Order: sequence, then C-alpha cells, then structure tokens
Amino acid sequence: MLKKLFKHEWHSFYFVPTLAFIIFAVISILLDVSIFTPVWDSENPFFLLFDIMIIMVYYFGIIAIVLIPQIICVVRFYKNLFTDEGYLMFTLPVKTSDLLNAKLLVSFTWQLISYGAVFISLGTLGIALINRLSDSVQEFFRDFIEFFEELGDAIVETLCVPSWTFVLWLILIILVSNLLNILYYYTCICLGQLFNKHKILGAIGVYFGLNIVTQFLSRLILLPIIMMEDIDVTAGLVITLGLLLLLVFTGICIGMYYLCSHIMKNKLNLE
Amino acid sequence: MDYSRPLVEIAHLTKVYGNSTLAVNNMNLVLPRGKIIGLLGPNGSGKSTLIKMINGLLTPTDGHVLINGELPGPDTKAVISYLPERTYLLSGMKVDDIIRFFADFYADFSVDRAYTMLNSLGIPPHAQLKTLSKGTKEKVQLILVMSRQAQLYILDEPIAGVDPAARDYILRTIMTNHNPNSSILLSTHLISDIEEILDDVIFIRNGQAIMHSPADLVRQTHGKSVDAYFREVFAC
Repeated sequence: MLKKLFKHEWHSFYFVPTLAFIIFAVISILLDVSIFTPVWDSENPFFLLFDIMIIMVYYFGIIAIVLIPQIICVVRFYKNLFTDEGYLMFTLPVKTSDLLNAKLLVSFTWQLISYGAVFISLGTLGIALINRLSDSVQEFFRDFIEFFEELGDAIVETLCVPSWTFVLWLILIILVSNLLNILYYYTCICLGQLFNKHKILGAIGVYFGLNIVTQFLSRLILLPIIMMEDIDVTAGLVITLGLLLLLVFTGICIGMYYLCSHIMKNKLNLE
Repeated sequence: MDYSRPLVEIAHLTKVYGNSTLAVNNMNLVLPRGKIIGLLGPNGSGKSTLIKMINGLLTPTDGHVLINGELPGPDTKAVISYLPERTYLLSGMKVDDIIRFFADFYADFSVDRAYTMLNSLGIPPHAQLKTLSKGTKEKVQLILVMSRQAQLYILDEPIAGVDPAARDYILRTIMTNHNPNSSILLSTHLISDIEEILDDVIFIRNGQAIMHSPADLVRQTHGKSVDAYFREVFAC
C-alpha cells in the first residue's frame, strides 16, 4: 500500500515544482550562456542593468526552487490529512504509518532534487566562469583540478581529517537535516491537532515554541565548547563533535517521526 | 477477523469534545449483518460522532468499537464503505482519477459499476472535480461508495442537500446496488424519505441510543409511521 500511496502522492505533488525547475533551468542556462557574451565586459548601462537583473533573478530562482517544494509539502500534509480530504485518506485500508511514510518520502525526494538542481546549476556556473577565465582547455582543466586540490588541503589543515571524511559527513548531515526540516513542520501540524480549537494557530504557536526551545538547547550544548580556551583541533575532537551532531539530529528525527505517528494513529480527531 | 461475531459492537462508547461537550455518552449497541439500519436523531444528537468513531476518524474518550471483532484499522476500513456528510474528494483530480484511486486501494471496488452509474447520471468521466456542483460531487461520492462490495455501508446524511429527483435516485441506488449480506447504516433526520427501506431503526438522543428496534415493530407497537413516532419522541 505504501507504493500506491507514494504513487498518488507523487502524482498530486509534481506539477508545480517541475514547472519551477524548468523555469530555473532556463534562467540558469541563460546566465551560463551570457558569461560567454560581451555583456559582462561592457560599460553600456543597458548591459549593466541586464547583469544585475539576471543575477537577482538567479538568486531568487535558487530560493524559489528550494522553498516551493517545502511549502507545497507542508500545505499538502495539512490539507490532505487534517481537512475534509482526511475523511478519504484516513478511511483508506492502509496503516497510518504508511500515510506518513508516503508523504515523508515524496517530500524528502523533492528536497533532494531541489538541492541537486542548485548544486548542478552552481556547478555549471562555476565551470562557465573558470572556462571563461582560462586561456585554453588544458589550462581550464588544470585550474579546475587545482581548485579541488586546494579545497581538500584546506579541509585537512583546518579540521585535521581527510577531505573524504568531511565530504561523507557533510552528505550525511545534509540528508538528516533535510529529513529533520520536513519532520519539524509535520510535528508542528500534528501537535496543533491536539488543540481543541484554532488548530492552525496552535500549530504556528508550537512552531515558534519549538524554535525557542531548540535555539536554547543548541546554545547550551555549544557553550562549553565556546568557553574553552586554546582548543587543540585534533582529528579525534572533530570526528567526535561531527558524530555527536549527526547522532543528535538523527535522534530528534526519530523522536519527531514517532510523535507524528502516535498522534495520527491514537489522537486523531477529524471534525 | 471474526465473522461469527456481530458486524459492529459498540461498548460503553463515550466521546467528549474539549473538556465539556459530551457528544456520545456511554453508548452500547450491536449492529447485525444483512440489515438496513436507520440511525435517527435530531441535529447534534451524536450520529456523526458515532459514525466517525466507527470509521476511526475520532478517538473515543472511553469505550470501544469493534468491527468483526477488531478495533478500527486497515482491516476494518477494507470492509467499510463510508459516505461522509461532507465533500472529501481530492480537488486536483478528475472523476476518472478518483475512480482509479478507489480501484487502486479497494479490492472490492467495481470500476464497471462506477462508470455505469456515472453514465446514468450524466456525469462526464473527464470532468475536473473542482468544476462540479456540490450536488454532483455528492453523487460522485455516492457512486464511489456504492461501487464497492463492502460488508458495511455507512451513509451519513446521504440525501440532505440534494434535490428530490436525486434523492429518489440515491435511495434506488442504495437498494439495488448493495450486497444483501451487507449492512447499511443510514444516518438522517429526513425519516419520511427513507422509512420504507429500513429494516431496523435506532433513535439517538444526547449521545445515547434510546431505542433499537425493527421498523415494522415500531409501526405495529405504536400504530404510526416511524417518522410520526420520531416526531412524538423528539418533540420540542
């Protein structure tokens, strides 16, 4: 049943984000192509305006393709499960956890697609810039490889860990953070359902309340580290802190998932 | 699932909204198989609340509901076909899409029957659900519900808010399409329109079942129609 729920959820979800991605891809290609035109070297006020406009549109485009799927997933979670459509969804012969899992999977996938699209776009922009600044193809590849070598050396020097370890950790923390981001909103909506009246306001209140709590707790955890004088940055310290952060985020994800699942299964009150 | 037990068993069922509104009050009921049962009561008597608890849409404050001996869950939802009093259709879909949706999730859903009923009501299968009138959406919902071979059909106010011709169609559809081994639980306060199809009647007042009797017995005992007796019992 999870597969069927995923299929229907994806089908209901995909149109607007796909449109946003297509528009962003066009903007990205325009920007990349414009780098090879005289537009960027000219003093012509019209070209200068074009330069500013396209950078601004590109910047807002990045924000849009990251935010649009997030907004749609949150609104859809609420509308599809806790309004009139919930009368259909919660009477389907499926486990409550499958309803949650399908939405989580679709939202998570779209978040990854968003970040992937931004990464690819920034990558092609970087390649275009390096290519333009290089005198030949050989110089371009040399500059390209040199850039990543210097980046790796900087990571080793600063963090005392191999660059591949840092990259692996970064990928894991991005994945877990994405999941945490989605579950954070789902938790607020589910906790809002526990209010007798004004459930949406309740969810917003929970959002701000949770925000304050997490800000306070993160400062509490970081305070001993900040107050330490003359910290020797060692590989052991970096790995320990990195793993601790990953574990904390993962633990919070698991807690929020089970909280949402419990509320949807045992505290549902569709009115 | 235990089919030797009654279809629905309701024991000490209570639902309190907030801290003060007692919607269902220590209700005890048994719904048999193969009957058309009218759940009758004035507005606010607890009919919809009871129905939602049977469907697992509300969590009881106390007591429980068992369907084929099980608490509400995926197995019980597979045998219940529910028509709520509100429109629950997914707005971004077409009629075709929602039929495919139901066929995907319910093994007992008949696509042919659904299209036959759509055709007889003149509802275009490619129509966007959001473009349909309220009455037409309710007809689509009824078609979806009655196209299933469920053990229990729960229809919450199926004829309120539709025109008299559509009411006749809905009642005919209910009579001709349901499985004789299934039960139908019909909640309404428009009793005169449905009285003739009812086997049993349940009167609900203030969240309690005050009577559960065969409709014929009510008529014989009190010498009047169920509608007339209802008006007498619930006179303001």
